[in-house]
Amino acid sequence: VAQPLTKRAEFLLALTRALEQVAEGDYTVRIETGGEEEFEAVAAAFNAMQNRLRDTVSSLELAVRNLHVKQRELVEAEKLASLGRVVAGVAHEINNPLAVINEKAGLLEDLLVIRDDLPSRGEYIALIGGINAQVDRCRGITHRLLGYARRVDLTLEPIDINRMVEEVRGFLEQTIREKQAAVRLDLAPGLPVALSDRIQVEEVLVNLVKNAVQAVPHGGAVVVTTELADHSTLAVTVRDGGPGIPPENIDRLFEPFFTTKEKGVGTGLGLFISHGIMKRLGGSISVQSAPGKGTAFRVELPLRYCVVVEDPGV
Amino acid sequence: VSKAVLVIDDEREFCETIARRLQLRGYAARAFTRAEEALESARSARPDVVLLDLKMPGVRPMELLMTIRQLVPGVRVILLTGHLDHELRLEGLRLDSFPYLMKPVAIERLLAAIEGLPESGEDR
Repeated sequence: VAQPLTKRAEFLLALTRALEQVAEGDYTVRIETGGEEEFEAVAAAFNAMQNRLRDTVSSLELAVRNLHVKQRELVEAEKLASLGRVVAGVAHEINNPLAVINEKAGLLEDLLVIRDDLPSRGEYIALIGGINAQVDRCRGITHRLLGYARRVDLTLEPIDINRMVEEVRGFLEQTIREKQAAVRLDLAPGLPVALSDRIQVEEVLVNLVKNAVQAVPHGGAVVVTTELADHSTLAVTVRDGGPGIPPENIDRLFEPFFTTKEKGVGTGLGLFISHGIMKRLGGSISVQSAPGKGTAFRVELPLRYCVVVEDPGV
Repeated sequence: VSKAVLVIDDEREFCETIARRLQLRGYAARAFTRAEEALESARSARPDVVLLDLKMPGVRPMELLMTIRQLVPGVRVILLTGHLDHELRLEGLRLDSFPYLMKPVAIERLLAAIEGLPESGEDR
C-alpha cells in the first residue's frame, strides 16, 4: 500500500510544481504519468490546457505586436498628413507675396530697359536678374507643393510597369551618365497591366531612381526590380549600393523638406510627395536601409485603383 | 490694334503692377480690385481679354466668370490664380476648359496667353 501512495504523492508534487510554473507564465511545461493509468486523465487534461494556453498566448502576443506596428504607422501617417496641410498652407501664403515681388521686379526691369540713358543701367538689370532667379527658385517650391495639393483628380490609364521602369531610366539618362552609375533592371516577365494614374506613378519612380543614383558613389550600382507582390498588387523595388540611411533619419525620411543632400541639390520634397501619391493611389511606399548596407525603397501599387477615403493631407 | 485687357485681382499691388507692365507694352490695361467695379467696366469698355483671379472676396467664382462671359461675348478669360482650391472644385468648375496660369507667372508666358499663343496654358 505504501508504494502507490508514494507514487500519488510524487504525482501530486509534480502537478503542484507544474501548476506553479503555469502561474508564472510558463506554458511549455507538461506532466508525465509515469505509466500510471489513474493519473492519465488529469495529465491529459493538464497538457491539453497547456497546449491551448500556449496557442492563445502566442496569438495574443502576435496581435499585440501587429497592433504596435499599426499604431506606429497610423501615428506616422497622421504626422505626415498634418505636416502636409501645414506645408500646403504655407506655400499658398508665400505664393501671393511672391507673385507681387515678381511683378514689381519685372516692372522695374521694364522701366530700366526703356531708360537707355541711365548710368549703371546694366548693373541694375543684372541685379533684377538675380531677384528673378530667386523668385523662380521659390516658385519651383511653391508650385510643386500647390500643384501636388491640387492634383485630386486621377486619370486612370493602363500601365505596363516594366515599360514604365525602362522609360524612367531613359528620363534619367543624363543623371545616370554623369554618375557613371550602373542601373540594372530586373523585370519580372508577363506582369499584368495596372490601372492607375500614369503621371503620378511615374513621378514616384523618377524620384526613387534619381535618389538611388544620387546616393551611390561614382560608378555605383542601382537595381530596379518589378514583381507581383500578390494577386492584386505590383511591387517595384529600387535598391542602391549607397552608404545607407542612419536609423535616426529613417523616421524623418518622408517628412517635407527633410534632406541630407548638399544645399541646392534637393528640396526634400521628393519622398514626401511620393508618399502622398502612393497613399492616394491606394498603394504604399516603404524603406529598408542600414548604414553600410545600402537602401531599398519598395513601392506597392494596386492593380486596380480603389478609392481611398482617407485624406492624404496635401 | 492694341488689345483691351482687364485685370481683376483683390491684391492691389499685384493687379496694378501687372496693368502697368501691360500698358508699357502697348495694351489698354486697367486694374480692378473689386468685382462690381470690374463688371461695370467690362460692360462699358468691352475688353478683349480678362485676367481674373477667381478668389475675389464676396463673389462666387463661377458666377463672376459667367457674368463676364455674358457681358462680353467672345471675351478671352485667363484665370490667374495662386492655387486652385476646394471651393472651385466643389463648384464643379472644369478648369481644363479655361486657360489658366499659376502665380507668379513669367511675363512672356502671360503675354503669350493674352495673345492666345499655344505656349500659354498651365505649366506643369
